[in-house]
Amino acid sequence: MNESSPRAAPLIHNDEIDAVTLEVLRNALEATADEMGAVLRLTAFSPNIKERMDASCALFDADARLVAQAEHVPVHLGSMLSAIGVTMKTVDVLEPADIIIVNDPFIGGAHLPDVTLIAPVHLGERLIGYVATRAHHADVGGMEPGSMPGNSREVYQEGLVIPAIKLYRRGVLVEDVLRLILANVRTAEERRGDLNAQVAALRVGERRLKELAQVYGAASLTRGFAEILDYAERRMRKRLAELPRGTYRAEDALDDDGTSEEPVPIKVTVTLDSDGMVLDFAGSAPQCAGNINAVAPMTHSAVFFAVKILTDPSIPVNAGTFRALDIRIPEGSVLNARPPAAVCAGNTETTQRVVDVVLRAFASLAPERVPAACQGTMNLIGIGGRDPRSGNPYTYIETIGGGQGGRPMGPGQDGIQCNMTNTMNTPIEALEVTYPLRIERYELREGSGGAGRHRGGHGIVRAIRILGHEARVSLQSDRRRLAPYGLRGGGDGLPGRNYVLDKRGTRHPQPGKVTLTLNDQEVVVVETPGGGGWGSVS
Amino acid sequence: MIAPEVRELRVASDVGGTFTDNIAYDGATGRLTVAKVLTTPDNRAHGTVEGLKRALALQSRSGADVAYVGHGMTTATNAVIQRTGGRIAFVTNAGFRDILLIGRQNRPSLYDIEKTRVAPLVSREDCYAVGGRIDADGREVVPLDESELGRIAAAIGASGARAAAICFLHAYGNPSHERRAKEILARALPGSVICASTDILAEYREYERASTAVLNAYLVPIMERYLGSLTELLSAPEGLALPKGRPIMVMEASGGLMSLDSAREKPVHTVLSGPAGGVVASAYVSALCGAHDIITMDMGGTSTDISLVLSGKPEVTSQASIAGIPVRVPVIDINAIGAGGGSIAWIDEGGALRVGPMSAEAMPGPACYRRGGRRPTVTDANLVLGRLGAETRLGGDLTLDVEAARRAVAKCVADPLRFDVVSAAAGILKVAHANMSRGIRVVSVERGHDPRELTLVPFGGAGPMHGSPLARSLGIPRLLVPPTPGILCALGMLVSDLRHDLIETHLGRHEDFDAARLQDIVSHMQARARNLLEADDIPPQRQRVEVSVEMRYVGQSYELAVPLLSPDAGSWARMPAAFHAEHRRRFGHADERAPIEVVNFRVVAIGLITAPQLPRPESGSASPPDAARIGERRIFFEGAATEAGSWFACPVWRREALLAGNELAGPTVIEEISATTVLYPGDRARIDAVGSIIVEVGHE
Repeated sequence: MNESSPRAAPLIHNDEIDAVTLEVLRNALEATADEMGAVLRLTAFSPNIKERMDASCALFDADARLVAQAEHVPVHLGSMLSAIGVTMKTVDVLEPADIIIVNDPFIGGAHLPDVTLIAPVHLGERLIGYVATRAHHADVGGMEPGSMPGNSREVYQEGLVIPAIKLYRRGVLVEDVLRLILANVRTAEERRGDLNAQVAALRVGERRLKELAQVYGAASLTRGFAEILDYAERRMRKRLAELPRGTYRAEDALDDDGTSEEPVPIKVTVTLDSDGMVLDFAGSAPQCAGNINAVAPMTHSAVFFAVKILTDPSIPVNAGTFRALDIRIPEGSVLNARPPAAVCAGNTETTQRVVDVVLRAFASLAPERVPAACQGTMNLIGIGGRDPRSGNPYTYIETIGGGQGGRPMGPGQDGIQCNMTNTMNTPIEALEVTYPLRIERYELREGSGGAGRHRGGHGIVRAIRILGHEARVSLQSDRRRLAPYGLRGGGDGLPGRNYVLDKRGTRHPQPGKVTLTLNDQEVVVVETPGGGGWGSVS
Repeated sequence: MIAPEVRELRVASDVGGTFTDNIAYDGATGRLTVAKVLTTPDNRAHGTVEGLKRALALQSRSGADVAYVGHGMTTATNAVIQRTGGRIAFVTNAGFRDILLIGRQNRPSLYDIEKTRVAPLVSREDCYAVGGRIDADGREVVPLDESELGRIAAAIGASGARAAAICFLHAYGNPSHERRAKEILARALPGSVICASTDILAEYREYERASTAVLNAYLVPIMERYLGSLTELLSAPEGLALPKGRPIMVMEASGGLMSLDSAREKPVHTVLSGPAGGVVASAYVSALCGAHDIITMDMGGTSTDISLVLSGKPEVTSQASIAGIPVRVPVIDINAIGAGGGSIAWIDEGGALRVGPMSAEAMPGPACYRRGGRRPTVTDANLVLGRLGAETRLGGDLTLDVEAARRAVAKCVADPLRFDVVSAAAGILKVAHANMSRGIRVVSVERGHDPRELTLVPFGGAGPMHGSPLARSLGIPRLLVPPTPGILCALGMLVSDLRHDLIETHLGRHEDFDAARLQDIVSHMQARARNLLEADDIPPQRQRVEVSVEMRYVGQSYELAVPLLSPDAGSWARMPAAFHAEHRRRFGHADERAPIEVVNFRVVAIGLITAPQLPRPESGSASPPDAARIGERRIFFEGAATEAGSWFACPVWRREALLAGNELAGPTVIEEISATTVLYPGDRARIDAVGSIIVEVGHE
């Protein structure tokens, strides 16, 4: 019955990937990244990955260029993008079914708790791509529980540094490597569970990528990857072309680096022309003694985030999306630090400020799209000690939402995660069941949002009581002195503040970045900043 | 009391957004009649009564003969989405007034700053905080401040709020403060609805529990009004004239039925119940022909609802949400995707062909509907490729304009891509299938289920046209197209059982539960379950109570349910092995050394309602009767991933004339009033005893 028809053209014209195959393949790749994320979330052990999904999964082509990712926190957005290629260059011999593990910031591009696993995908002996998962582990050793110390001065204090080494060799676990890692962390069983979950996610990604290579053929798949990158680039360039050309400058600063009270300035000059956009961070502070140093991929993430807000959030992110961007960061600066700088808060705090600075520069470029400054910090709190109920060590970490900046289209939202993070809170009941802690307050910090035609969002007050033991508490926060800015006549948001209530209820103010020892019944209180207002009130 | 006999007249009415589907089924004669009427938005009960009267009239019966009424509606769902409820209050612990507003602290979109998170159903000035605190072990740390509560009651009364929800921290472990607060508020606010969180679910995680309680309090007044009007109209002489005392059952989102009284008290269970009937009916029909593990795919004009049924039971989740608000009651786990027959094909600025999520909806509809639509849709692509025929009458009366469909596909897709019209239409289907296939993967592979072991059950007007290519791309070996795929939801209300769900959080290591504690928890919950069934007039021999325990590895925060056959030491000792096995099945790995912790005990109380026999087609031989073949048309079938497709001459069959035992080979098409089933080359189909089309999907 089969009638051949001259009217039906083939869907793949020789070497070209057509509009249909492009969309079908993109869906398949994104579905794979999603599926990897689902496996990771379902099988992980720690609440930080399962409940808060502080993790990302991604697929790369054979040249280690990102083709699809399912990211759940924007700070992973760009850091995976460039860092996997860098990582793979440090690996000498790569064999099928190997798994590389890395958390060295100066290779992998993220702070130490973000442990990345990468697996090459081979069809026979031919390398067709890579799959990777990155997850924030609740502890990777170092001087403080939670591996986010408030006062580190060198990366070595922040935890175990893992260069790009093999966790699996030809499909077989390298037991010695795992034992070494687990011997250097506080909660070994949880780490083992989370690493297993990451491996399970890689296995799924690997299987799906192989299936795709079998359906399309390895050569067509490679061309498909290249077209997907070009597609994202085309969409981004179209959007950039709609913006007014010119040069725009902005400056902002972090309160301090945790070792002094000196502000840490960050500057950007944005030039938009027909070739694309240049972002030059010349004039930003040199790398500093404290732990707010960023490595370049972290800074890239923050830039990509701001550009995505400015253009079209629906453009898929891959190695083509940001080709139109030329990001220049002085080496040895706080935005592109060299080893052995301490970097753990570079991820969480400095990236927030980079977004603020870039958006501020964009504010004159596209005033109808850019909000006032948000809380500009993640308010990371880490508490660790020995649970008096079981005698076992525990580690709890959490970031706290604050005020969003007033937006051109309406008020900033109250008590919400902003910019580079979007992790969920740990439910109070889950937290109190799991840890020897009691939450005393978790509510909005009224009056903290900046005034404006569109008010800035209010911050949050979170108060945590220590129960029956001595605990180490680390705080990494900023915008405690320098307020989130208002835009177009809107008022600034109220800076945040941290303090401890002793047993008598006396208040002891604390700096933004600090590590403390607290005793039974003492309470640590974090009041997060409000967002800036947008537009003048009258 | 619900009679166990099935030789009686039962009716069901399913109120949807546009249409209200009604069926009447006489168990004595086996006659099933259907009436589709337009939904009456002012008072949806009017459409139900009108539709049921018509369905009954078709077999010359009246309301007085009816033994049983099943009812499904979207009243609760719509009330939440459209926010039509009145002012309500929320009471919680001092220091936590904003827990509803803060939610889980995350924003709805990572990068889109225009997206604002959903506002709670309670405004901030109606949220009250009162002194008092229970700790994680259920001990009172701070006594309840009753005098403060008195002042709060006065403030609520003055505010005009007519309903209030209470949620205190750790009430799942010790509800004494919630109960006391409820007493105080109820006494101070007579006539108001007061809902304590643990009345709905005694499960930990405060935000989700609070939000579910608030949702319930919000819906009670609305549901009392609606159900009051419904029962009045059903029993009124000028209405259906239904005799007093005949059971009226309401569909809940879990796929079970609830009594009218339960629905008034806990309307939150009816939120998201819209698609549940179709899933239940699919599971029922599939089980009749031995397919117990299925994926249901209900494809309509704007969206497709996909769900998984294992061992004949719809997968139920307690992680659902509606319009951004979490609903922690059991809900059939449905993945709704924005791909339907009306989904519009377009080329984005990067040059990729996209389909949806925008839809032409009913107005103007696809270009081929002759209602002014100019943009090509999935339906237009189906028409260009011959899947639908120009002579096909959608819904019985609408004829299709092939030239309009070709023009739309040419102008918006083929010309800009420099494709011919046929390739463009085939491309539209490929992209639509890619979206839908992703939606099916979410409920199957992403949850650890291998599609090769499942049967795909497509229904809804557009589903049976797309089942075969989706099954191929996912490696699903078999399709089952149920009879009358257009009215499956209403059928669900005749075949479902009555159901109550109970949940209690009891945290602890598995080994810490001794036989006495276990016995205490389970027997207490079972007694509650039986009381509920008795209140529904379910006799003991028709009661079934199932206990399961939600467990996890210590440190994990997602639980897996494992059935507990009996609350004795022996069964308890076997639970870890069952848990490891379930963990391995779902996630591919298990850790036999890791300690296990118990989180929740769940009890499902079921009142068995004997389902009626479905009407059966007459038996025939393998070759279909000549009368069933109504024509032939040319249909284009797309090739595999990298291949072109081609045209085939295909016979067209009328489903109503096919007989049990008939066999058909693809490529072919089977038409009926409400749907068209397309078989691809290589597919082999058989009509089974109840009239389902069973398709063995061909390999490419």
